[in-house]
Amino acid sequence: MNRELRALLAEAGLATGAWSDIILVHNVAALPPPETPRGDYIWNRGFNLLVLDAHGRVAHYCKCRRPDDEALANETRVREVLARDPALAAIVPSTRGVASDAVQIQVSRHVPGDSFSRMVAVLSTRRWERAVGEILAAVARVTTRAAELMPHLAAPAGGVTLADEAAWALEHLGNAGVPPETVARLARVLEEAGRAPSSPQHGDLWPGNIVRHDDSWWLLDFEMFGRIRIPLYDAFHLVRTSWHLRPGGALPLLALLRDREAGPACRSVLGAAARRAGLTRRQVGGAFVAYLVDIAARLHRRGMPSAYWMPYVTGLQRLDNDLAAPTPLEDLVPI
Amino acid sequence: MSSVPRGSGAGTARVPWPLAAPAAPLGTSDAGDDPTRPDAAGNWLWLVTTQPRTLLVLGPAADGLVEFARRRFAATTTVMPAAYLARTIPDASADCVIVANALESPALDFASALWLLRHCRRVLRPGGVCCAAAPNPLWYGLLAPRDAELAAGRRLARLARGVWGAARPGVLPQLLRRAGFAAARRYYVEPSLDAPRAFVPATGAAVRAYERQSSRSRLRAPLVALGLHAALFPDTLFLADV
Repeated sequence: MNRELRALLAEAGLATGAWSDIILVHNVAALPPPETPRGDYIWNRGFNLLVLDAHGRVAHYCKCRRPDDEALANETRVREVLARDPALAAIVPSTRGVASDAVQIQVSRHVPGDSFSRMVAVLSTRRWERAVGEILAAVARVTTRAAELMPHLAAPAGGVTLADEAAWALEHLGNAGVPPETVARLARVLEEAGRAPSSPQHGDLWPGNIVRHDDSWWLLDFEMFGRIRIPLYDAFHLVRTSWHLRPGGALPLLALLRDREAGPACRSVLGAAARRAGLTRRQVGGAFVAYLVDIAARLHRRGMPSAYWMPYVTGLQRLDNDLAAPTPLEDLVPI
Repeated sequence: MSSVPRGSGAGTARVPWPLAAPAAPLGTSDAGDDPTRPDAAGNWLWLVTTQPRTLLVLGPAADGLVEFARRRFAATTTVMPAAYLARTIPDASADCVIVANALESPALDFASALWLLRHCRRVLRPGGVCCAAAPNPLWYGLLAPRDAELAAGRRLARLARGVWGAARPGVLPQLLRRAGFAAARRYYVEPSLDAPRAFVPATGAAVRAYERQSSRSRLRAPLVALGLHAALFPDTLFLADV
């Protein structure tokens, strides 16, 4: 292995043995980068390493990124703090960051176990509801402690103004071609929702970032942690993406909440999350619109293939149909 | 963000908004999340001991690779084509030689392959590395996808090279040893050398660990258990140290 890489791993407390103990995976971009990437800031993901222990098991997971990758630096800072907290010892894997002029590396303890993305398709609706409820409760513990341990991540005392949080995304979608009357309708809902209590959101809470191990739900991939402050963002995203992985589950979020089979379970877990966050029905409606606007704009801005952002844009269009009807969003989630 | 969509999720009869295509500056494709950028192919250099300052690219179809390597390593490395390796390149003058498509032809006999590898050894400095690749015939014979991306003719050609070529995985380590290299480190590569997503050390423990991490077809499990690793990966990369 490269001497510089080996020295950095040693600095992170990782004694690498034979060359055959290192597997290079998820190799997607050159390190060091030959050019400064444009577009969204987490685009260049370099590569990852799986580091085996003496028994041939994966012991550590290393993300290798460009030295100025702010997303990885943010994740490393957050996880180093959270993983030291005894209350989160079974939710956030221990992490250490090292860097040189050529590469930034995050070394994490590898969490064995089953990815929720592999489990979710075979769970009954009842077990899905219980699992998602448990995961959202674990996330709430993490975000609460994060706001205590890292006050700069905490939302202002009076909460956040939903229209302000979604302003950039509405502007982006308007520039990309969403009709002006739709932008105006969405903006009106956000204005009417006013301010809402908030906490730092994980920002990428989908089943692939959740692992079941030792009767605990472990959370991975904190690159976006704290960057989004729209309340219930994680809850909406987990409900949407986890149901999406179930047979026949490819529905826009609004349709999902009104679906005969999925609706009661989805509304139930979202209701519990909304009560925990102290939101009113109007604020939940506003948060719902803010989530849909943000995720559609974020994926579109990132330059992902259309298969990624189009479903969210379609969901937004469906919401626009309802707003034009109009159907009150306050009844979406029981509180 | 890595949320994986499936299907369109369309639930409305309205015509979709004609949204402008997003700016896609860095090699996006519809292949999946985090599409592999072409320059990622050079990251195997993190597996060798030192970053090379002089890199030779050797082979009949090496022009594209030379161009790529010049773009990729321009800041730190001198990249040269080595079509006339024997005559023009001084002894012990390079840190890395990439043998590109030079060994794979079934028409190349073992003596010629050995001659070529001996010259690679000659031009490398102490601490240098020779990088050579070989197709895995088992993979091309058993598991290669039967789709348009890998047409039958190309699959058969790769299979033939893997079975009869001087670069076949069973023979290349011996040739490298006879050419004077230390024991070669052997990596399985997938999905291809042109756009490699993974470099897996060709040991039982590493392959088992890698397979446990991946969501793979159930077909692969018995092949892993039987140790038929060459049936699981399209290509093998050899890194031979001086």
